[in-house]
Parts: sequence; C-alpha cells; structure tokens
Amino acid sequence: MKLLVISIGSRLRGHDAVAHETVAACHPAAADFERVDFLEAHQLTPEIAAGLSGFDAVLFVDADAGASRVIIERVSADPNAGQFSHSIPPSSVLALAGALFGFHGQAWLCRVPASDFAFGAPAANSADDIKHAARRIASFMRKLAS
Amino acid sequence: MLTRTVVVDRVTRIEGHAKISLSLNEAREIESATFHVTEFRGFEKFCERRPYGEMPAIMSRVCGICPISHILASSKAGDMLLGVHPPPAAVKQRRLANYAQILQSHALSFFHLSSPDLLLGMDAPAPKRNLFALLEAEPDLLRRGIRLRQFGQRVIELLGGKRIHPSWSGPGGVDSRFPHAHREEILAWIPEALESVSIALQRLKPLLDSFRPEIENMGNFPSLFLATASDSGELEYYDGKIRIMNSAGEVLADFLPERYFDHLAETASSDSYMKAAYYRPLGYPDGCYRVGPLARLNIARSAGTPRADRELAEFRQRARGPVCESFLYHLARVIEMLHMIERIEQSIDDPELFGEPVCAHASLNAREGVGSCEAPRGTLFHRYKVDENGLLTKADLLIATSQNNRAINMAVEQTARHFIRSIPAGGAPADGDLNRLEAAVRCYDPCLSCSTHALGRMPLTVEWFGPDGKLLGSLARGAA
Repeated sequence: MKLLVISIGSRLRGHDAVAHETVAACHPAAADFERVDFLEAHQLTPEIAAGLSGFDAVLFVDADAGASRVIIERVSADPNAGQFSHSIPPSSVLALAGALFGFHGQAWLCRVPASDFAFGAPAANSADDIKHAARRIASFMRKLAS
Repeated sequence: MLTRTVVVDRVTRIEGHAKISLSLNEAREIESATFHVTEFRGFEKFCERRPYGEMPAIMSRVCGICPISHILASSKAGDMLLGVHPPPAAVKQRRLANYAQILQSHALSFFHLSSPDLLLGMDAPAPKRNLFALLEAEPDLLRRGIRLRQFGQRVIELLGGKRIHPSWSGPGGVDSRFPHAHREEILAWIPEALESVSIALQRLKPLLDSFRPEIENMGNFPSLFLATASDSGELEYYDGKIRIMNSAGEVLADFLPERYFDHLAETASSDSYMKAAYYRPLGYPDGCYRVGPLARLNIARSAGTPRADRELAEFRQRARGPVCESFLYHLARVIEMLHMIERIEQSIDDPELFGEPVCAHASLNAREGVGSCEAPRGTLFHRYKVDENGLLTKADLLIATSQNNRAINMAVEQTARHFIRSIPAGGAPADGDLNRLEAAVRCYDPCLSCSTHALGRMPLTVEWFGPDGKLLGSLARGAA
C-alpha cells in the first residue's frame, strides 16, 4: 500500500504544530508499507490535491481544539465542504484529487487535541501527549498496512 | 447635498480583509464609493532593532503568496548595506525564484480567484461562483491551473527548500549552490505549463468580448503607470531603473530604485489601514499611478521571449497607447504567466545558474540600504536604515497594492456608479452587481496582507449609508 501522511499546521502558532511533531514520531511505522510519504503543510491548498495522485490512501493529521482525545475518522470527498480562501478542508482536497487527479483511495483525518494557538513557537503539546498521539497513529498505520 | 452610504463588507476572493462603502445622495443614487482595508500588522515598526541579516527571513513572513518578493527586496537592501554585488549564480537563482513566484501567484489569481467570474459569469449564483463550481464546468482548465501553481511552487521549493517562506537568500547572495540535478525536473514541467497557459489564453481572449460592459466600466480611466524598466526595453523583474509613464505613453521620469523616496510618497487616510502612494511632482491624487501586470506590459517595449512577444503585440492592439482598462489586468496576468515559463526555461539553460560562488561576504559598509523588485502585483521597495551595529533604526516598505490603492478606489466607484447606479429604499444591490464591485477589486489581485503588512483572509463587507450618515443596510460574504 502507498500511503500519504499530511500533517497540517503552523509551526509558529503554538499547539498548531502538534500534527508535525506527532507525525515525525510515527516514521518507524512506515516500514510496513510499500511506500509512505510524509508531507508537512502549513495549510491545505488545492495544489496538495495534485500530490495525492499515485497513492492508495491518505491520512490527514491536524491539531483540533475541539478534540478531547486523539480521534481518527474516515473523511470523504465533498466539493461543497468549504469555499476556497487561504485554505480548504480535507474533504475539499479529496474532491479535487478525485475529480481532477485520479485519486480514489481511502482517507482519514486524525484530530489531535490542542488548546493554545497563540503566536510563538513553543514546543507543541507535552512530550507525553505527543507520544500518545504518535502511538495511536502508528497503531492505525500498522493496521492499515496489514 | 445629503448622501447615504452603502458598505460591501466583506470583499471575497482576495487576500486579506476589506470592505466597500457606498454613499447615496437624496435620490438614492451612488454618490461615491470607498474601498477600506480593515486589518493591520505593522512590520515596519516591529522590525526596528532587529539585525539587518535577519530581515529577509522576517520579511518573507509578510506574505504567504509572495514571500519571494519580500525576500528579494530585503536581500537587495542587505546587498547595499554590505556594499557588494552578489555573484552571478546568486542573482540567477534569485531571478529564477521570482519568475516561479510570479507564475504561481498569477495562477492563483487567475485560475483560483477570478476564473469563476470569467468562466461562469458575474451573475452566476454566489454558491456556484467559486473554484469548486469549476470542477463540473471546466475541469481541465481547473486541473491545469492547479498544476501551474504547483509547478511554480515546486521551483521555489527546489531553490529555497520549501514552497512558502523560504529564506535561502540574504545579504550578499544565497546560501547554497543550485544542484544541476534539478534542471531535468524543471525542464519536464515546461511543455505542460506552456500548453496550459496557451489554452488559458485561447479561452480568455474570446471570453473578453462578452465582458465589454465590465471592460469599459470597471476601472477604465487614464492614470500614470510605474514599473521596473530595463535598458533593452524588455520586461524586467529584478534589476533596472524605475519608469513612470502617463496614459498617453509619455515617460515622465526614469529614476534609480535606490532613490524611490525622492519621487514617490504615501498618504494615509482615516478610513483604511492601507496607505495610497503617489508620484511626488504631481501630488495626491493627480500623481496616483498603477503598478503590476498592466503597468509592466504598458511600459515595456517588448517581452523579450517569443511567445510572450506575440501576445504582447496582440495586447497592444487593444489601445492606441497604454491599455487603461483595469479588467485587462487579467489578460496581462496570463501573458505574464506565459513569459514567466519562457524565462524559467531560459534560466535553467544557463550554466551560471548552477555555479559558484553564491555569496559575496562583507561586513556592514553603509547605513542605508534599498532593495526593489517586481512582485506579482507590482513594484516592491524595501528601505532600511541601520545603526553602527547593523540594527534597524527604520524600515520602510512600499508595497504594490498600496501603490494601486487609489486606482482600486476609482475602479470601485466607477463600477458602483455604472452597475448599481441607485439603491431603492428598503432594497439592496443585486448580487451580480455586488460581485462586480468585488471583481473590480480582484482585477488588481490586491494582497492586503502585504499592503498593510497585515495578516488575514479577504472576505468583504458592503454597507450603505444615508445622507445623514446612518447605516441603511449591509451585506457580508464569507471567504468565497
């Protein structure tokens, strides 16, 4: 299986960087796959849809102030999910990727709890929180690979 | 005469936050229109006391769309502070990055933000007037637009290490040699990119015939134009003198970018965070001028690349002198995309691009540095003053969008007067005409994050006010 993992967030906005730090701790889980690419995105833009071509699945990982625990849920294409301004949601990326770039694989969104998005670049969440989230994602990836 | 005011709040599909106010007279006809920018950041202030060497990296954060322009202007100001000329390889890397950035920024403006108006119509229902509506209507063109932007961003990533906010360029040059191995990847994109822009041009040019009212009434006025000019007369984006021309095609002045402040000034207004620039000898507002793709095509004698030169010759047929219709910024932008691809192709065929050295080293040799370049939206100037330790005592940024500020306001007012004309009691402007107001702004592809050095999305609010200044109604739109 060819998997694309896209971590979303600004490294200059506190916990918004939690996705990048979590995904960085998941790299060993890539060994079970034919191919895993990790893409760090400040935010999702239409160009990212073009990059989904050639993958069987995509996992979006994002900081979420509304999540009280790590949640991994299926996400599907929806061209009406959001209007384009600076960024678009994962379902819009999938709509573009499916309609324009031949991506018809499965997709998930992993929401990692976060609370402080103030300007500045402190380490994201605590090391324990990141380890926990990374374990969840790595476990999910291993299931996916099997 | 008593007046009423309408405010369009918020303008959509542009970069930043803004609103439009329409003032009505007693007959409820449009009396005037004003474009307000409602966000603020203040880079000029918080850069004070920072070391000049940090400025390119800091300035790249002014904007996520055109960080390269700010890096280049800032790096060039740093070159002047050091008193050095960067090595040819560094200059060629910088030039290539600028071409790639203009390509990706124009692709964003044309395909992502403005093509819904052009392809689906100004009066298309608002929910259908966006990028995703093109999925059904124009999938091939949409795919090509996305790929074009991806190409520009990829070139930037190859040069600077990342697509947004790279900081590989600084005072004296750039930080590393450009590997020759990247040439093949860039080269492989060229045929598709050229084809995509050619298709876009072939779609756009006949479409313009159906936008005759918009072309004639959405920012069609004489003005001055300003752009970087090369000695050869070809389009120039990195080095050269600054030329200012009137709408009769007469050159009013050529000056060195290092002395821009002798010729250009800005004025502030109480209703907007965006200043307005003008040409000092003519004062404000007579000295207001336009910058960007339309100004560059008007000022250059030729493009300097074969495909773009053919398109430029055809573009020139649209007027006897400089083209004054703001709606044709769109066409100028697509022609520039074609030119950027040709320039990228030329650049990667130049062995010096891959050469060394890439940086000229020196310590501080001057207390003032100025850098300029052509950004996607027009000419950009950075001016820094430093103390004996190289810490900034003053920063001045003259941004393309603030140079277009007065023209944007004139375009909005002309559009309101022609298309809305009046607003009956209890009524509101038609949705299509509100969209035309926004489209008048979008012609200039304004980046309000840059122009106020401010951060944010660009939804628009429209409000209208009565003769007594009382708010009569408003419409707000999300970031469509």
